[in-house]
Amino acid sequence: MQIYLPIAELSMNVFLVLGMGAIVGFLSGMFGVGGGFLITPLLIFVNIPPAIAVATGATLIVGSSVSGVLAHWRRGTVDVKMGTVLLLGGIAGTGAGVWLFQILQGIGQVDLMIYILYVVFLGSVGVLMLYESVKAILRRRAGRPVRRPSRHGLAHKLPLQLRFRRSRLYVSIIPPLLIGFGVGALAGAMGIGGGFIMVPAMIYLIGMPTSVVVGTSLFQIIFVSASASMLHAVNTQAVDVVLALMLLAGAVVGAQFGARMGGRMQGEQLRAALGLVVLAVGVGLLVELVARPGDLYEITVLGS
Amino acid sequence: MTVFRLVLILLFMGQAGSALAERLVTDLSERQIAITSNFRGTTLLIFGAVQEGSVFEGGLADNDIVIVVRGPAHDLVVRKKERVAGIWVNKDAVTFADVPGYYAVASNRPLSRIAEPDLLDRIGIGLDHLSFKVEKSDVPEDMIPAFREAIIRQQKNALLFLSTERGVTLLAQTLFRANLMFPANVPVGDYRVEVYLLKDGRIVSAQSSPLSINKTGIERGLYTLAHEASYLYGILAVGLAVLTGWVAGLVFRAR
Repeated sequence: MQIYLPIAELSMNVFLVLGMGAIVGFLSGMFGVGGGFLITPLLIFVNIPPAIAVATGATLIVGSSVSGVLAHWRRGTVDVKMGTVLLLGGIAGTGAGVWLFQILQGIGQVDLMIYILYVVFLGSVGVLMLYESVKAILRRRAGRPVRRPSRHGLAHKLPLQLRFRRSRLYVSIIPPLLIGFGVGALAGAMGIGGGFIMVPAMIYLIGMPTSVVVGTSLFQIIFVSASASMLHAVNTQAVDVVLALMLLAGAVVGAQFGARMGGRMQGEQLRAALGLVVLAVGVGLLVELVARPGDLYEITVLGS
Repeated sequence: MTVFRLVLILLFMGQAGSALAERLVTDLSERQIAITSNFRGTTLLIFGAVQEGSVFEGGLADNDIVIVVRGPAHDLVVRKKERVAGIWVNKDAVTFADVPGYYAVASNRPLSRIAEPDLLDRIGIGLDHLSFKVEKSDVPEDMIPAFREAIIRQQKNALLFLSTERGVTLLAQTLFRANLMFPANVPVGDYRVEVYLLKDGRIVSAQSSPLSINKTGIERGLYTLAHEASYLYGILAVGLAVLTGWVAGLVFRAR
């Protein structure tokens, strides 16, 4: 069964789209990330033009984060105040990201930039997560207590300090603003919500307790990816709403299975598994960047 | 461009009389192809007849029929990848003007046997005889053909450039028919279907009919909205995504 995508201007198999949505949803339910880092490369892999993959990915993440944040909201694990600070940085960052995306689209290097950003971020985040989680697993095996990350980082020394009750923190708002900006820029340029960068950054750089990190990250990702979607809709007209909604339909179902599976696993095992997935996607993209392309020429339509 | 081509066609039709247009009667199975949500490509039947009087000037030579379908033209940038520090990067670019988004040619026998390359070049019949105007180029003249060939190669792979040398069936020298394929990713817009009657390597009659391929219904509405009311479209897209996520969250909590 084929469905015609009005913005991408090609037709795709419905079950393929639902299946891709389900895979992404499964991972996002399991690990509490939006899943954008996976969907954009997947879409590009099935011949969706990169610009549309990025913009549509952002719209998908809006929906999947709303669905995810509801569960955390009920458990009270969303720090709205911290989320808002991250968001302020995030909105500014998104504008910068979409702007960068458009400049690179003009000079024909947008694919390259997306690839390089992905390889760098997926590679480094994957390696760090694997390293940290494997160490934690070994420590647990050896019977030693799992050490929690330091609570006295940079955020405690800088000015403009605020109290965040949910996170039980009294820290400067400068690091969260910068982190929000950076993740927002990535969201705009890469079509991701940035969960896989935001989550480690909140734990290790801001020192938030792990329990509120995922919910808070999802909370602010809703707004960042919504504004990224809007900016893409207005500036590049590359959001394919039919594709986004079909992916979302697969994703919300997949997320339920993912959440159940995730509930049965230990934190370190989960982080190790996510690290592996992230690293695998990164390595796959690196291979494509370095391997000789099948056709050395690339064609872009400029309009009539 | 089209007017220019018509003038050329008339010039190449030689000394044949004034009632030329009547020698060829053609029609299409559809004048409008509608792209709906389950569109997965289509075929178009082009058929017609060569009228009696046209077997002229001794009538020794056989009739040849060539059909060309040209899609809406766009400017294209072709970029060549080069290895920089181990990574493949887009380097030199050539911009071509008015490249058809779809191009199909069908004939009753190989084009090289129907007419001289010179004639085919001038009217742009056959993939080897298509020329694109270079608008801007980073490379010396002699490297441009490689960029031009890249367009033809990739469009052929995408089934958007087609050439079928025996695609036209000619019955008793008078009736002809051809099926042309349009893939699912066919560009939308105004097409032209050109039918040429050749004799002894000369065009003795030609007909051109319009064909339109367009999205209909909700597909058309969404596309128009995205391009003409992009704020509204963005709000709609984000709103629908939020709603879907919200509903899903509520539905699965109930379980």
